[in-house]
Amino acid sequence: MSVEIRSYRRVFDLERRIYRIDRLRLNPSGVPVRGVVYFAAVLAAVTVGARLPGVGALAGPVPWYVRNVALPGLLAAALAVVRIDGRPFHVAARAIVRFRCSSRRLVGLRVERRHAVELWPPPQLPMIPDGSDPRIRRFRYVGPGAVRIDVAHARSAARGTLATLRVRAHVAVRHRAGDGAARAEVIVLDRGVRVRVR
Amino acid sequence: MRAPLSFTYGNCVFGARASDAWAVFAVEPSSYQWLGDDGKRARMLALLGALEAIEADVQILRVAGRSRPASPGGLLAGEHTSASRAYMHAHDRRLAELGPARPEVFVAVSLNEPERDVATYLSQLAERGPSELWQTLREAFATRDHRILPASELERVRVRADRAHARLAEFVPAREARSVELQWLVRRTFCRGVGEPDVDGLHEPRALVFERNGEAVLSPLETDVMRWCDCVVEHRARCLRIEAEGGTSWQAQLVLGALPARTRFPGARAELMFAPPESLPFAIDLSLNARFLPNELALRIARKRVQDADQIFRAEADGEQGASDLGYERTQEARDLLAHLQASSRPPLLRATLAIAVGAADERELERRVEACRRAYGEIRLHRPLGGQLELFVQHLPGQRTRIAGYDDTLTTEQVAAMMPTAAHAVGSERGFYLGHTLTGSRRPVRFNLREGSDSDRNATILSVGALGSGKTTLAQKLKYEGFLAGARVVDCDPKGDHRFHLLADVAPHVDSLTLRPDPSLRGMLDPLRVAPAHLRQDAAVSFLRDLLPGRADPAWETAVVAAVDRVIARSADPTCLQVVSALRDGGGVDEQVARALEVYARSGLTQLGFADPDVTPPRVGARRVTYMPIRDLPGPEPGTPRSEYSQAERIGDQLVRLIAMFAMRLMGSERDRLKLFSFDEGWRLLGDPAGRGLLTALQRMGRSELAVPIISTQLVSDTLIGERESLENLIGATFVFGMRSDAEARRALALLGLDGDDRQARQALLELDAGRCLFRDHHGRIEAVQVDLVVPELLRAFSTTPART
Repeated sequence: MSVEIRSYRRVFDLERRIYRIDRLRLNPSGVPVRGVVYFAAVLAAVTVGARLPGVGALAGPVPWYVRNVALPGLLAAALAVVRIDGRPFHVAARAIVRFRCSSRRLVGLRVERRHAVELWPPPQLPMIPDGSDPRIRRFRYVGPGAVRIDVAHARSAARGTLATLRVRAHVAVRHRAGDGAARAEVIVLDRGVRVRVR
Repeated sequence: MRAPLSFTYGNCVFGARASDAWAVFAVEPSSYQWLGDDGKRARMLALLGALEAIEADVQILRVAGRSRPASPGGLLAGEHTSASRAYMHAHDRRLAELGPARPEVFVAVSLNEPERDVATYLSQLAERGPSELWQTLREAFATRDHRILPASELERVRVRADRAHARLAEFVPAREARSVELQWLVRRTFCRGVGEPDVDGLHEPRALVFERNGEAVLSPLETDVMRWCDCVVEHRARCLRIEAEGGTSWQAQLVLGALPARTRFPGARAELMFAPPESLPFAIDLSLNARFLPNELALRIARKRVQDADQIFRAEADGEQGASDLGYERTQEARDLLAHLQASSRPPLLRATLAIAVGAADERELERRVEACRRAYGEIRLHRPLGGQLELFVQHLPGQRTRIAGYDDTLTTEQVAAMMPTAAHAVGSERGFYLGHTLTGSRRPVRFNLREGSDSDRNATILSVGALGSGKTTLAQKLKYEGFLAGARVVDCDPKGDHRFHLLADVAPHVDSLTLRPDPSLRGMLDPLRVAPAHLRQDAAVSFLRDLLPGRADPAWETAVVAAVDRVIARSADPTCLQVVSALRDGGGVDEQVARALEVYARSGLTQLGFADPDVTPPRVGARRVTYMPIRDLPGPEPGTPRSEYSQAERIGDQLVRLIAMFAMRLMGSERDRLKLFSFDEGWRLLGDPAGRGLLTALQRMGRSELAVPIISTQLVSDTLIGERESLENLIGATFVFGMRSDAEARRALALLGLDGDDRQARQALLELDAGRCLFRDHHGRIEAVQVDLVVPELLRAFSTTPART
């Protein structure tokens, strides 16, 4: 018997809308808050653009109600509806602008014009071993604990003052070449006892 | 862009900051397709349990698997001809064409606390003791360089990783990823579509294991640095061009759009990390990056959403058109979500994105593959964000959170578990000859190791079932040929005379051919007192001789036979059935009558093969590696006839079959350490009655201790077989079920495999299986639909039993 798997996307995918301003009822489906923000942004851009030389001359003849109301309103409505690559306009636009801006990186003092490309050389990655490699790596391990060695090796125990004073490791393990499959061996260490693997 | 990974330590990866540590675990993918609904639900529940127990941000990576190095060339033994070398080359080529056998699944678990809101943060602070609070304050205001980690801190990270492992391993078969695997995982992201990186030691076991107990301290004294000297990523508008190790890799990064509001599980629409990737003929990588929202936080979010939904509904209702359907349904869904989160299990939510990486060797192929991916996902849109390719590429590296905005969705743990990232079409052996490929779009290669049963201490017998012309005999001959290449001794019994394995150019010089026919020169070849194992000798002889008696024979006749066999075994160093007849003849009375009845069979027909004559020396067989035994005129009942209705001739035929099996056992018993194959068609004769199964049991014991592998083929899945399925469980190792011709047969075949015979879809699938296609149940009980694939066309023609068209 199958079970139903539900998605609650509609619960989380709701958009803030303004349905009324004071007693004034707006359109039945409301005005998205995002659309209001777009309207304000387009209006600001139009206002700033109208004061720029060249663009201002072009915008001058356009009636104010077209320039400051109709055009921003239409654009805002369109941008509130459109989804670019499945994302809201402002999210997609941010990504596109970032991508386009980054394409200006020079490569050998030349700009790659044919394709908009950003180059990313992957950074170096230090990889610290933990014993899971197939060969013996260099470690120092201080007990209490145990070490299991699954490859051919030679082991020696240090004695004397230097070992007692923990200046030198108590047990040294070295890789031993030439053997076939080795039997696993376990070294159990008391507190403070050190094993050095190399 | 900041480096997504700063360094790795064992199975721990550290993100852009050293404090952002993740533990990476490898999870074994498992066979899934042919599980029943209960089995699939159990898998989903296990994944669900794991997701809830982790209690941390998680990343699930499902990537194209590693190519396994076990080239079948290593399985060859001894001297071989150019034909066999060509066979191995064809094997290697086909394996290279098909790619990896199964995907690799890795789960990365963040070792930091998950996202919390202020209320949860303060609650947890209040629950901590003074010493913990002091430690937290010290870490927050510490002035040391956070890029430097002391060995003790690395040890604490390892201990936290162990705890995460313990939580995860309680639900899924997870182990710590090895350093070499992390290296492979990172390097292969740059090579998608053009091959795999060559990583030393990837397939070798680890050398050292250090105990982690929170007190011991492990200090690594050396490190490796992965350098990308020749690897540069060109970030184009909707793709990446990467100069990789194996060539130029073109990659497109896609991300899943809105999921369906309701789906059924099990079902392809829910299994988004299994069904679509497995339907594609090329590999894709998937990365599910999820933020863990604890239940308290999820509840607060859900309550807020209920308020928002209600507010929208009221606002719409105030209007002239009233509330919309969407507005109303949203209020209900929000409440359903709240109820779900208030359940006793206190489930979390996951804010996740599912990213898909497609790679190819050139741009055109890349576009073709992207379109194929979109078709595979059907109604669910795959977005290819302009300018977001690099972020999504990095998101596929281990230990990463969602990097791209606008695509994350809040999912329940059921939704994520139902995606079945750990499901695979996994069947067959790790090493061995190439058997064929799965019947999926991904065409996963399947290997089969004839020694698997013996090596893994499981049943060794191979059972092959299917209608006439479905491919059973072709499979058996393929297995015999590969056993021969591996140095096995092969005993091939051919009741129908349609085997061709012994005629192959490289096999023929190694064949002893012995046609079992009514020929005086073969007298005694199958004498049960010679061929049967010592402990079965008496019973085998009595059974054989008793079945030769007329059906209306007096019970005293049976007693006479038993007594005569007893006497002969006790007195003779080399007892034979002919001696038993002589002993009866000398007895007088009833014994003499019995002797007269048996003498007829001792001198004529196939039955004379059961009476060793001191004047006849049968040909010696067994010196060569292959013994081919066609059997002419073997009487036999119609399949399915109850034994109580057998005619005398049919009972004799059954006896001969058992004697042939015993003869084969004797041939195979001489070399304990060599692989031995015994092939027998019409296996229902052995499987259908206790005596035959007893013989197979004896062969089975040989299989485990002496590398003997019976290959039994049968056309019929009788009710007897189904009734005895439990006893067969102790006999059969691997089972191949080829195409069936009737619904009833299909039902019984499914029952034989342990599947639900009432599953109409499964029955229909069996009926539609063409020649060479089968349901394969391996030694571990995993089942997949497989196409048996003879890579050399000449062999396919040679082995085929279908008459050629003229």
